[in-house]
Amino acid sequence: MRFKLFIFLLILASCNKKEGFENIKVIGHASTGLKMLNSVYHDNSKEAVEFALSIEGCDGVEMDIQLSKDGKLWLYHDNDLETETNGNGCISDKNSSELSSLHYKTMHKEKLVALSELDFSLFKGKELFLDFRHSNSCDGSYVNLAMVISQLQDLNLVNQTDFTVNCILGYNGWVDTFTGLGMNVYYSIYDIGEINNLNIVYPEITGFIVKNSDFSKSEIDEIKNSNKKVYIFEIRSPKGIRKALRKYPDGVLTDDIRATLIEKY
Amino acid sequence: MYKILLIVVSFFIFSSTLNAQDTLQKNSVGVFGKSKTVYFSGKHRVGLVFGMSRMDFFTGLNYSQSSLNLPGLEPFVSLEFGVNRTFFQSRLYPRLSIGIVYKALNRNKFSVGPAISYSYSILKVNLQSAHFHQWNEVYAGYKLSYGQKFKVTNMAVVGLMNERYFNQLTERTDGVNSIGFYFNLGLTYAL
Repeated sequence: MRFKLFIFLLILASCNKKEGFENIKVIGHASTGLKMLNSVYHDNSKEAVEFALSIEGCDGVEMDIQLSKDGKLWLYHDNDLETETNGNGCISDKNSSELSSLHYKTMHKEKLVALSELDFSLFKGKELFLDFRHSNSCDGSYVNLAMVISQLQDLNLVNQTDFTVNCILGYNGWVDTFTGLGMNVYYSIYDIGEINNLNIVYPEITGFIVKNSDFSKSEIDEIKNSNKKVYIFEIRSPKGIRKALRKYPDGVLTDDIRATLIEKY
Repeated sequence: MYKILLIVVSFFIFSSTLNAQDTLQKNSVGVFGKSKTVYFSGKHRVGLVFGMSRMDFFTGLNYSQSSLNLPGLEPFVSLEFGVNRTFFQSRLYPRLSIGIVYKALNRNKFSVGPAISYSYSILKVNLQSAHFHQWNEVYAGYKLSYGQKFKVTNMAVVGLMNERYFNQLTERTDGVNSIGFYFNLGLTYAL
């Protein structure tokens, strides 16, 4: 009898309360999450990108992009290579031939991947967020913007129609170039006070990327009321995910795709 | 679900082949200078466990059985639920495990030895989909316990974790492998 009561209470505890999150896009942050214990593959690897896109309900991925010495765009998050790979130094100081021999220090030994090596046919109908590093991690110098644009054009990511390409920028010196090409630009902001000035100076910005802990629901509403889209990042725990979804952004850049889908549906 | 039934049936078939008989263990307890002998069977033990794997924290019930015919061997079965998913996200996430421990060192109150286990867990990630995510885990490690009628236990195992899910790109069930682990603390009671 007690066992039946236990099972009944368990089922009751599992009853799901829908809160109308269906329109919020679920985007894998750094593909399948940054430094998450439950990630199968290392973030920003080709395997992680494909795994994230294969999960039912995942609407796209975000990836961290850095320019190599010879002008190729590579997926990598950290400032230096030795923290996560068998290499050393910075992406910006290496040629592609050196980077292509490196792999992550994980069970799968995922190789470092250039943006050009991704299978873009998998992105059909999805969203691709490219988070650009605008400065050299080692010496702080600005990255060559012309080389970045050239690579994007070579990869047919500038006027892509099969899927949505969004560029995340943290440096306002690049905004005009990207918006001038007709690309979707999302700007990272850390305070609501920044948006008024940005909306005036850069009216073509598509939207903003904000941290979950820094912005309240009313501030998210204020951004949306200014006809800009807003995506929330840095959400890892179920509580954080629920908190982010209840702000009703346009989308979330989540470190735990499965947990976010559970909350969403 | 057939995997769950298979695990449970396998455990009971295996347990029955041990042909265990009730054993009595003496536990002399001195109370106000008087010695008192308490008899209890050490064959069956039930308990609560609290553990952690890569996917979630788990809590649930554990049952184990010891036998005279194969001394030192203790098969067990556990039914646990993922804490975050089941209780904080209201999504049932059961994990059924079956395994066996060999008590290489078995003193009066303390025992330790190698353990192997197989676990199966299932989770409905997307309610709009008909498909489940399923995990198969095959682990090896150790288990230690301390106590007599009440025992505190600790198990740590590591091995291969396979996740099976519906791939929306290929529209078929795919599997991905990774290294997994499981660590738990438990409190068991001898029936």
